[in-house]
Amino acid sequence: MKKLILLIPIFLSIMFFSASSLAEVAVIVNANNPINKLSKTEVKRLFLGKLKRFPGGAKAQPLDLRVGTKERSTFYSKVVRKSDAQLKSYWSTMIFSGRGVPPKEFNDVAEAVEWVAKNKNAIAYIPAGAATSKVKAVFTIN
Amino acid sequence: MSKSKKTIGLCLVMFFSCVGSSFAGDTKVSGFLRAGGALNLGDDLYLERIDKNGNTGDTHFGVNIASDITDNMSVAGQLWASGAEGGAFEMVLDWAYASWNIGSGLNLNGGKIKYPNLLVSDTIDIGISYPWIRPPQELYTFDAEGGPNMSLESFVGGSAVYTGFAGDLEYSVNAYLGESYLEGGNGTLSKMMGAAFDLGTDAFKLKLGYNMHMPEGVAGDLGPSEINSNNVSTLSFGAKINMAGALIMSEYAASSAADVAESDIKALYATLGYSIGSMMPHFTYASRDAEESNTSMTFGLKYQINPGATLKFDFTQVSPVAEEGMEAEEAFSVISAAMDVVF
Repeated sequence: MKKLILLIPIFLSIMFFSASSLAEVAVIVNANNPINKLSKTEVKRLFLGKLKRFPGGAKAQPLDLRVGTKERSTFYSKVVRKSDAQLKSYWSTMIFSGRGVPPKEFNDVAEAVEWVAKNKNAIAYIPAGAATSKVKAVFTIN
Repeated sequence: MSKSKKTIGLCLVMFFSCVGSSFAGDTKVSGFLRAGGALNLGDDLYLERIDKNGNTGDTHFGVNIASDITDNMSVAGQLWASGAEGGAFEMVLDWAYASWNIGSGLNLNGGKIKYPNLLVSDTIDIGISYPWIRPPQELYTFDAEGGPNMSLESFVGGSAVYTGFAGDLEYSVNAYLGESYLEGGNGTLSKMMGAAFDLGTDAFKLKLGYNMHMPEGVAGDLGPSEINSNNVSTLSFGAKINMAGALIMSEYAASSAADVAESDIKALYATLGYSIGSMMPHFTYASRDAEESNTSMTFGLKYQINPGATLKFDFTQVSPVAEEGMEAEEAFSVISAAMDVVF
């Protein structure tokens, strides 16, 4: 019985680790950003340029991964719910009426994580396991 | 167009390209191109340029530059060249304005600003954003006879735009004032003021617009237009539903010039489309009730080549409506094709 009680914390740790790694994509901000959590709607509006600022009022700088990456497809299909063609059409209406430009694009995840680690206003989506101690997840997609 | 004007245009494009590559972090250069042509199967002239010999005036090119100056101020502008004026492709400043975000969703804009009142008036040159080759001309065209204008390209002045959210709904109020210069130096629409109200989600959008201005120096068929120095007002209402592959769009607008008999114009259209993979067949009925009235029906097909390019075919039948006591002119058909690319 004593052994069984000792195993419970180990079992709970494994359960917690498994749940975290199940998250495919995490939306991250700089570790010093006061925001700790964002809703799906807030994330969507930030990446579509409809919200230009974080809930606290600081200017947000969203970052995209390049077209064709798995994380980008997961993010835009599950959070923004737009296909590549719909997204292109949406940003065309924004750009060519002067209402906004799409997020800055990065070729790989490491570059995006590094940028977020160095810029307090940046926000990006990355594979859940790629976060470092200089960034923090504010939304996850399973 | 003179050779020097072409050179200026080319230099501007090259300049913008250089700026874009030099300060790629804060400045973004984008562009769009349409290669288009149309053939009128009748003997009339459609839109003052499309006849039975064919016309490539739908072809145009634009380059856009946008830059963040600070966290709360940005500047954007667009140069545009069209083949509609006899293939001149003279590059002009389509619009350019500075936007200052003063917080809480409120932006103050100043410069040459795209007209905001109709569903596609601020993206009228961006073909991939709508189904047709040309938005219904009954509503989206200037009145060639010097009558009231229901749709405008842009105005020079200022605007205040407030954007807010209520649950899943997004809404915005855009109040503006300034003046608009008509193409070809055909007069000025001064003392312009108006507002546009938008409400919607990803699936639907409602738009209400009101514009008031005073035309000056506008030429009609036989000398100065009667609408000069009269208050012209336009009220418009539009709705768009885009869900489960179906597209429904409809707009109605009514214009009139005070103290000018027979200046009233009423126009409407309704479009239905349905996406089947990369294809979207669509149908539009449009009507214009004015001094010269007509109805039209357009059958079209939009094919998405890739996310940034579309190929379109439209077949439009235009039926002039007889004036009282007169015989109606013969109906005619126009076939159009275009490829739109954004980059």
